[in-house]
Amino acid sequence: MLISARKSFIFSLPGVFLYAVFLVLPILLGFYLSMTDAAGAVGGQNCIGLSNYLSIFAEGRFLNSLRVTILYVIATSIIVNVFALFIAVCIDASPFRSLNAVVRVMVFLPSILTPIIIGFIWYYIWKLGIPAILDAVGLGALAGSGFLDFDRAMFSVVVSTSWMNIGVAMLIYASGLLGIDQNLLEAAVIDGAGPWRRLVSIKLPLIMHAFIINFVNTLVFAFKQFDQIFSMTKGGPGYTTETLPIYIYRVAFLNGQVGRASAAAYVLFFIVMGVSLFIIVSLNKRAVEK
Amino acid sequence: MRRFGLIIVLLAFVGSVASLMAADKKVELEVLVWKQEATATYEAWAKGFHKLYPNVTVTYTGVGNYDEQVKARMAAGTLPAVISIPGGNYGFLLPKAGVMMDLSGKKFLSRVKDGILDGQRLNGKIYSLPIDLAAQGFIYNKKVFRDAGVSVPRTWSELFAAFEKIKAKGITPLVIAGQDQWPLGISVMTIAVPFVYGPDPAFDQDVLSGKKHFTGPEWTNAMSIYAKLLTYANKDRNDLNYGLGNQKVATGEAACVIQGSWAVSGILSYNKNAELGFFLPPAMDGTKKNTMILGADSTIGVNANHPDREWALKFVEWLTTKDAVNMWTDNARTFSAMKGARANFDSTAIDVQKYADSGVALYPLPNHMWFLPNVWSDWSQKLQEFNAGKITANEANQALEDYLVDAYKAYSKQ
Repeated sequence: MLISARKSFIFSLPGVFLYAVFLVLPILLGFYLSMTDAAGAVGGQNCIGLSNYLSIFAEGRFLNSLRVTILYVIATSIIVNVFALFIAVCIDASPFRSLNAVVRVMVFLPSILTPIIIGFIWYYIWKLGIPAILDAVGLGALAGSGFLDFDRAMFSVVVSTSWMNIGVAMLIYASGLLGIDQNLLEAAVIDGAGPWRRLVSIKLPLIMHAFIINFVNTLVFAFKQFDQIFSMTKGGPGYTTETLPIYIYRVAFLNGQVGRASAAAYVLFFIVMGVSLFIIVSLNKRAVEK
Repeated sequence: MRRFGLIIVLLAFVGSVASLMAADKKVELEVLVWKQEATATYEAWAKGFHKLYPNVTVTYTGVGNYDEQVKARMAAGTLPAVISIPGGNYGFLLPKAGVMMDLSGKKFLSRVKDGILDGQRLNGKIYSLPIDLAAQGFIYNKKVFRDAGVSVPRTWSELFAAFEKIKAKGITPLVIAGQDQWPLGISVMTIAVPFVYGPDPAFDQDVLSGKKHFTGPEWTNAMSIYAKLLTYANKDRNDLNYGLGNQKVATGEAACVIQGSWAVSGILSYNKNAELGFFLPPAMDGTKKNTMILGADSTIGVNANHPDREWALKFVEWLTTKDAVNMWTDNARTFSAMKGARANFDSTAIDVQKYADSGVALYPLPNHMWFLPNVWSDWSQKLQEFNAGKITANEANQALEDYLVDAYKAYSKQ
């Protein structure tokens, strides 16, 4: 039985209404807020056009947080995807099913912890755990002034974020590899292709979609990451790990400059949207259909 | 007539049932707090008040990053009935937003120690009850001092000589826990008071009016002393958190920490047998009268718009009673702002009381009206950079002045 267009429209109204109220409206209201001088619960809300956007790009602290964010995102995305792919390929090649299952669980476990807990755990790992281990093996000098000092805080934050995200990415890669037609691989073996050639020329192109999903996921996650970094370093020492979300939080809730913080949030939104679209479009062209 | 009488009886019955229901109405009072050191006190208070009023349950929501949490909940309209406020800082923000109940003229305020309420007045009104008094100075491990053969220093040169002896024993003379950022501002402010606010209590106002600058001789002297203290401090001064810093003093890994007396209970939580003492930073030249920071660190007020505000007011009033005050001193191990409260609950309290009795000048904590939470936070981040040698003292002082002036301008508009 065909449903008339009119009835279809009526049935879709509740969903459209919810979408408009809970997604579109807040986005529009937030954008308006970013063009005001709103300062929290006290004070007015006057429209000032694009002044907030112009002033944040002239502020050294915002530019620093942009730089820190880009560095953090690139480093995390690369580390997560390289390690996740490596582990997935190893599991795929390994004939030990029980061992594979154990490795999958162990690698995936960190993904079920909340970021704020991970931040606290890794703070103590970097502060007490790793220095104690280095001391025990006679390499205490490597700890220096600590793994959370000015020079190494970013490295420590990247490692802990990557540890949290490798599990999910690994599962997606592993699923992609499992879905490859075994006939293709057998034909390659017959043609004399070795393991490395099979990996590079057959498996990787066929799991390009998994790569796109993982890369975009880790990118977006890293761009938005707040609680794990804040619980570990509070954006410090100094401003060395003050990413855009932490900057936005401080400006909004500590400085009370809600309009300005909204402008920074929209800058982040446009960056994430632009980068994600670019990756999806450019990598889709390279993907090979199974 | 009979019908009329029946109506009257019915109305009276309904009224009495309603009032009975109101009296027995279950009330849950949420108190928003930030003092992690006072958790035991809050639990004792909750039990004590519930015993008095069984229909009321007091629950505590302890949050870190308190300022941001309060602003977020204020924006969301979910502030609780009872709000704990840092001394002085919120003097105008929450009342300006119409959040806080005016407590001026309430009889229970007469139980507060003389002079303390003045630090809480905004346009002559009182919006929150001071709960404690905190002093700021060096909290030290007496055993470490004893083992190193040093006594409490009275001048800066005596202090640095003592630190040399302690360092020779392989112990960190001074622990600085800068990961949480706020302890850095506390440390520097404590050292700065004898140099800056002792001689000129209105220094901040002089800066705001352009008469003085943080890059002037007063703060420059203070920062040069702080820079010298850093040479005796732990290397991980920027990423050691408050808890671990307290632990080091408690276990004797470090000799002392520059903190408020609120830290004593936190230190003892790591080692209840630790012998702790308190001494003030020496005065500028070691001979003149010293200055001690002493003021209300924590205050509690009522949310004027909350449906349970009358119960909240009863709870705040109860906090001034002897039972509640004793719970504070016994558990939080810091002074109460109420008259007649015990002042000898531990050795650091006795030391602070000795200073207060010796006629040392007192500088009230809440006087830093424009040292708003964002000023403390931004300045502390700059101090982290100074700690690591990334910026000079002059740059740190200039940054502080900029933050203070910006905060004054921003909040003056509101």
